Amino acid sequence: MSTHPLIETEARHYLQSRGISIPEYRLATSPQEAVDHAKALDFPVVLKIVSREIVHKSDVGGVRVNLRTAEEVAEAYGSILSSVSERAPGAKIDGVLVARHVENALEVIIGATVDKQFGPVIMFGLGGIFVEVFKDVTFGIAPLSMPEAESMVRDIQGYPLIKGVRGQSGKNEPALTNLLVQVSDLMMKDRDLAEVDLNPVLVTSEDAYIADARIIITNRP
Amino acid sequence: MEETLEHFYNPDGIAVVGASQNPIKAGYQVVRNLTQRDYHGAVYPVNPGADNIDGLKCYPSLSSIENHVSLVLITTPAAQVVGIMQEAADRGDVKAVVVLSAGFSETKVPENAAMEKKLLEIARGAKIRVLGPNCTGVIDTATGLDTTIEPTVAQNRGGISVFSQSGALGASILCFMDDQPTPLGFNKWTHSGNTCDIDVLDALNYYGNDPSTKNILIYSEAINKGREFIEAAQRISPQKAILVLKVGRTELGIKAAYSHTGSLAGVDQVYEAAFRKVGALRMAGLEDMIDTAKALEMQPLPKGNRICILTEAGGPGSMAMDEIGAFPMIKLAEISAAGQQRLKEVVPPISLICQPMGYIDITAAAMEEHHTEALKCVLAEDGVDGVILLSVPPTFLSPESLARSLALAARDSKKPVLTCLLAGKWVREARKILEEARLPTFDTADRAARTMINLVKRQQYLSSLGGEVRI
Repeated sequence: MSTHPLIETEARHYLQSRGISIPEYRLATSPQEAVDHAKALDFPVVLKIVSREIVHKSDVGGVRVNLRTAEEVAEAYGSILSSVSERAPGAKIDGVLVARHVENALEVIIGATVDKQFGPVIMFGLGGIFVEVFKDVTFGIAPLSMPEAESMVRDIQGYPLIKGVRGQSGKNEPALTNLLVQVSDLMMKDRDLAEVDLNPVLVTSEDAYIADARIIITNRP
Repeated sequence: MEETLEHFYNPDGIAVVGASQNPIKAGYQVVRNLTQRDYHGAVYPVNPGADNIDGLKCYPSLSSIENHVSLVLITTPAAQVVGIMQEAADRGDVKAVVVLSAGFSETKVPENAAMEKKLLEIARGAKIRVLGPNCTGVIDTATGLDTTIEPTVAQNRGGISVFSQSGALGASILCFMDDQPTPLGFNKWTHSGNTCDIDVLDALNYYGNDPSTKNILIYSEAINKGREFIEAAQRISPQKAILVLKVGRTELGIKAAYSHTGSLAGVDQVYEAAFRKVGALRMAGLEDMIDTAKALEMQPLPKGNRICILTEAGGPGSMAMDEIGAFPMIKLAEISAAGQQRLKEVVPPISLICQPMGYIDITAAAMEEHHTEALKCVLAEDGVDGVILLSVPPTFLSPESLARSLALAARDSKKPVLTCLLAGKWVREARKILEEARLPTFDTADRAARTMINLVKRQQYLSSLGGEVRI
């Protein structure tokens, strides 16, 4: 039994095909195409490198966010490619992904893996330094019930950021909870899923958007 | 394969292979534990070099016992165990084997681990269940059966059944239970050692189906069949509380557990999630475990999460408040205006009533009747689901008399009352009186509070199931 990772476009397609909503995105292979996609999707947008050989896109300068004009998009396209060719020379590039930039969002992480003892488990945490430095995460064993998913969200230390502090509006908690349950259901149903890493999921007061997805599939002999 | 542990607890004939006349050997202690206590079933020592042990006829071999044998205890050196297992398999009547001998997989020596594999293979082929190796077996207070070499713990009867992967910890649990102001009884006890066959899941299933087991205590270093554990625990947890002491919170703990019984523990947070899912209460340590087990045995569960702290001393009261404050799921009780008025009439004038709400300090001026009247008062309040009562009886207050009055005041309460009389030897007898009246006592105020938190967690799990709260 071996495992293999899906590239972002495949991962997005995979989630979509299983009924998990993914914000609209398009693949560009030229600066002009990127600008056209940006116009069709509406500004601001984000651009991200798509390559099977690049897992950590930010580390190689493969991500640009909050691009507000056609000029910015064209410039970003060029700078992403040159940065990637410098920092990950020889990596085969599939193109650049264009998606809407989500504003006023809180970054969270939803992860899933198959534990040796307990089978499919789901992890939830706040993104960025919260998960890296503070290890502020909660775990749940799939299948998650709605109340279980709710308490996974409420049990993190940083929960006030989701609920809304100091006059900030709260984030859409039901959308987040719902996504946790969907991922849990997916892990229970698709037994060839080895790992799901939705990082980040952008939560606003309206919805929860999967901004990046990494999926690892088990190849059974 | 036999599904249950029945033959370990209700054997039809026990053979002790490796029985010895030498009092410093395990083979002697095991026979002694079986014969000198309450067990009345047949026991057959096996030792080719002895005629009798403690007056009991000794057999030269397992196969030479002409009567029925369903349980075999093996205390010989490790090298002989595989052969004895084969003899047990050949008999055809043996259903259960306890391998007390050490020197198998726990040594990390490949040849020794291979012997363990071999003996299990023989056992499986003959549908024999194995406990161990490197274990002490079982104790059942209902029949007096005791296969162990543990210090002779008192066999106080009760509703708690214990499973431990560690013999020393399992025995400590029983010693601590016995050492309470009023000894806390137990029902069954199982130690699995290397856990080559019977494991925490088997014990959980057996205790779950055992009508005389009311609550279950588990010490475990790893749970290998995690999914099955979850399914079993989900089935049992609504009826019986499952208290788990699981080591391996840190890297060092995981390494020690591996070196102890060869257990490979996984990510601790995943265990935590699993326990939460099934409503099992994770224990912080032995004290937490015994405290909680005692409260579950003696008191009803609170109906809600509103707890009143009634204290005669500020320091202990603050410690209890600190504990409660760390758990947002617990609320301090709401005392009605009428209730506060009534309190004012029955406690010393300098008392602090509901500052903050739900916290009552009747001060060191409080006499016996102040304690009891205040307790009755808060128990009668609709906004109170449980009471933590703290007192440091001063020299002018007889602790025994106070205990008797408190027991009387709380007697008909459907709400849990957890008490802490905090004055060492001065209150030893009083604590005994309280516990004889089924009012559990705790060494410190914070431990009483932590126990109340565990009761609330249990209640919240049960109410999340939507069913009736079991009392």
